Amino acid sequence: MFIMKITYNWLKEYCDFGLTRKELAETLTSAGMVVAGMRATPDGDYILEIEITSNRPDCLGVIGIAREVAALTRSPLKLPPLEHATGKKTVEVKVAVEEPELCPRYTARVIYGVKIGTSPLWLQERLEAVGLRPINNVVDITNYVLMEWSQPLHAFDLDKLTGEEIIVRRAMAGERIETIDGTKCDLNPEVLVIADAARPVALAGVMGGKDTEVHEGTCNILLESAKFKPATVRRTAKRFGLKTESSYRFERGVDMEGVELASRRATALILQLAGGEAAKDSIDVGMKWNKKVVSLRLPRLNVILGTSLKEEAVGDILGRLAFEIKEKKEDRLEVGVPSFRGDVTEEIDLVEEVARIYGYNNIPTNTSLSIQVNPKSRQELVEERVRGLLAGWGFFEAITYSIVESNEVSRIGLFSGGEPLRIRNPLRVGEDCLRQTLLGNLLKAKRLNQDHGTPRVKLYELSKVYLPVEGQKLPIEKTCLGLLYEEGLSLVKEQTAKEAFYTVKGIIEGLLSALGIKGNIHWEAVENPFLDSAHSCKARLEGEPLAILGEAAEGIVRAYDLRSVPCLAEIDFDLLVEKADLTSTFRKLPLYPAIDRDIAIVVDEGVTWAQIESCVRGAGLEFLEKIEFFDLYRGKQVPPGKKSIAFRIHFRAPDRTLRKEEADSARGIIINELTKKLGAVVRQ
Amino acid sequence: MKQALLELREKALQELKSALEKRSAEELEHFRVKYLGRKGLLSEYLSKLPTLSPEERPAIGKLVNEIKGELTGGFEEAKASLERPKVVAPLTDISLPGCLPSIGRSHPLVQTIQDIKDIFARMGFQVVSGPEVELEYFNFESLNIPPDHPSRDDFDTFYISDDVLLRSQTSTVQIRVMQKQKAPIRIIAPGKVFRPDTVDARHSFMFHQIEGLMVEEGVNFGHLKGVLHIFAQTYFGPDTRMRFRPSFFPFTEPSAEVEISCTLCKGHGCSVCGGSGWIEILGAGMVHPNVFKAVGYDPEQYTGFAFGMGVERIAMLKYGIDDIRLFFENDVRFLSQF
Repeated sequence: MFIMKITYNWLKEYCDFGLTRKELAETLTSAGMVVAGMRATPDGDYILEIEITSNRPDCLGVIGIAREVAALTRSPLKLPPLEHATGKKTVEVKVAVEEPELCPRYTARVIYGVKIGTSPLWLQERLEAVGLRPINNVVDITNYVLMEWSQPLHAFDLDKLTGEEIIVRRAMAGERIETIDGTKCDLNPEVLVIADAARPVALAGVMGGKDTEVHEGTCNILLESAKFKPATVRRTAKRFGLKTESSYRFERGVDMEGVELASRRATALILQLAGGEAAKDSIDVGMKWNKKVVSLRLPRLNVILGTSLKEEAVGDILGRLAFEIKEKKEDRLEVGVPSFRGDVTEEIDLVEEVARIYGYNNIPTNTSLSIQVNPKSRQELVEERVRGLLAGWGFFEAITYSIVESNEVSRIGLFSGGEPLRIRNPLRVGEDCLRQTLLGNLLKAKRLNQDHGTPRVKLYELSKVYLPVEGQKLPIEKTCLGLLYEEGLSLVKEQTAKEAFYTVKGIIEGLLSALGIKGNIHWEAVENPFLDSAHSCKARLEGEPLAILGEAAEGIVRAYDLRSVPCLAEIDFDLLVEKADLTSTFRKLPLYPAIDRDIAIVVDEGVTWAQIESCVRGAGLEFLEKIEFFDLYRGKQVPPGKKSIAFRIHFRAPDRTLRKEEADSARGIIINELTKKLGAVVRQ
Repeated sequence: MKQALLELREKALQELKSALEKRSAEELEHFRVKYLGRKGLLSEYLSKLPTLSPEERPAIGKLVNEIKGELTGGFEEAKASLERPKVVAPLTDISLPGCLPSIGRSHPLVQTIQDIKDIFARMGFQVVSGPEVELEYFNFESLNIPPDHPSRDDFDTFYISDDVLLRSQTSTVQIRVMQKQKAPIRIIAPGKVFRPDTVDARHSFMFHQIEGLMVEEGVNFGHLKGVLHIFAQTYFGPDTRMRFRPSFFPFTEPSAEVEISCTLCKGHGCSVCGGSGWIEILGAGMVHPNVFKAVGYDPEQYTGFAFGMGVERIAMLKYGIDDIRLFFENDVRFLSQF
């Protein structure tokens, strides 16, 4: 989007419309030229700031906007006078265009005996109003005509050109030029230049050279007006970081006919304001070109717009926009495109022009749609369920930046993707990596909350990490679920890492259960820089890595300057989606009651719950239904190096009520097994 | 004698009650001396036991002891009660705040996306997604933005390599879907996009967009207006007005910028809408024939429309949030408001 500044009175010179400035702003805006600002000038005029979309370079000049206003208001267009007197002298300079592809048209006029000085006040004020700095009369006129016709012009000091020659050519390796603004450019054959017999004197379409610019002592000038290939200008401007009013317009395409018209207009103004005498001839080197003709099928237009516009209405709109109806064949119009509308090349462009002037808001709104129904995807269903659960468990969802600092720890979560993908053009140096874990950002968010007076938080993020794959252009984008958990301060007096660890483990188990994931989960030790090795683990689901979890490592707590130790987890969410089974199947409720028996045993520290559980299950008891852990105790009454574990066993028979004696005897068998296999001692 | 004992018990209990009600330690002591004391009434009865007949003696003895036990217990309790400060019966203070296990929330942007998805889902739009790290082709060429095209200036982009970038728009998903799927198509694609904009209250280098695409024989600009009207009136309220004005996007033609009547001032003009009464909420247009050609659709057979909106912008309007950075700071004081 380009903000074009024009003034109300300037516009009025070319089109006598009957609109107040407010109506003008509304009219232009509704036609796609948004008037984003308007302010008064000291001399009673108004500056309009108009947003011009990049397809309309013709509107980067007052005349272009005047043409639009003329079309919109059916007012006549009044172009400025182009005629000028000529003298007896001729143009002595030879112009050669070596690259006609890159320079389809090049015109030159020569004016002898100009007197360089300051511009009249009205000219200076206009330029200043539209944001240009007055320099001297000749340069100001080239800028004025630029703002009028959207055609960049350049005036050379004719006497500084060597060898009375202008060559439009590719630069040679090793050539250099210093542009008017003082930039020193090392050239190569990719750069199109305007050269004299000895050296480049301008970067074509971008900026002139310092050596040949018009200055106080200039007497004779050569006025260049040309059309250059947009891509060439764009590359040159980019290469040297020179974005100019000129390059912006050439990049978007200037009017083939406007090249000549602007040259004549500028010459007339120079003669008027700087004196001198125009050469009686002028130079115009260029390719032949014909007016474009584009077909427009009326039925097609109405199908796309949902309208029923007739030929007359369409013809009227196009005519107002200076398109020419060359021929009418049944439902088809052959439309001649004016040279300044380089953006119109095919039928759809004409459809848009018609719609634009007809008014989008006049096109009937249609809400009759055919029925189409799509089920929610598995991904959506799982996401919704997990988000609901986490909210219920007290977690707030975070969204953090995918682009992170390039430190070691930002790479190693559940997945370690090796070297991260890096952005070539980061906003901030060092902040250029695509994250491979969510945990670093969650810790940052925890820190921010800590600084903002919330000492304990529960946060999660459900988002992507980016894992590069050797030999592939695009990385794997894995959706992960990151958790950061702390007990709230008011609920628990002293949080121990152990409790948080088991809560987070419980959350993971709870998610699996809520998603109907029944596969085999294996918990194992893990080495991860984020996690305290004593209180962390890794989970595998059917052998695939599912999650890591644990208390934040001491170094991490220090690095992020945290005042409490959160528990972290990172879960492969894609795996959850893949394995989820969201269907529920009814199981008949048991007909007969269960009998519970509690057992408390003392075992060595090294004995795990998993061993106890498998020992109980291994006892081969027919009516064993469920084993429930409920307490782990160390302390008084338990010798050092040992721990007490208590659990409850549910027995149930499907077809009858179990007798007390059966439960007691089963309990006895279990105790025997535990004593035999794990050296357990029963606590009475 | 038995009768006399029962009367004595009645009287004693009454005196005890009275002492307790008056909270009088003096009366209580008097009660003790009178009934339980060494020379008290009960001791007197006990001393008379030997005078009774052997048949009567055990029953009366038992009764005396029972009454003595009862009165002693009553006395001890009353004494303890007098020593304790008087207790007011506990009342439930119903004005105390309730207790609730702490609950969290989805991120406001996720909620916004969810709300928008729900509306379009009711019109048959399916939710799809596409990669955030994308080939340049999908972000530009296939969307009718050739290399060196000046409209690339409108899409500043983070590059990973010459032809890999972080997508600067969710329109990429249109192409990926149409490459795989035949018409008719109705999709919306929410997701993250990235642009190297310096971060301030209005700009973020990462934000969210929702792209929509509908392709079907006979779909026209009127349908585009219809679908977006339904959306705007469902999401922003039934009084919402909408207007379309011409704009330019390389991948749609005709292209439109869509505005709704200001959600805050209802169109009268305020600081949110810059006094105009209108707020820009999305860009839209008819799918450009070149885009159809890029995915092998026949533009003569199919027509379609596409639209794209910024989620942060919509959430900011809906909730009145004035700084886009709040979405990414994750301060729970912010997150808990939605």
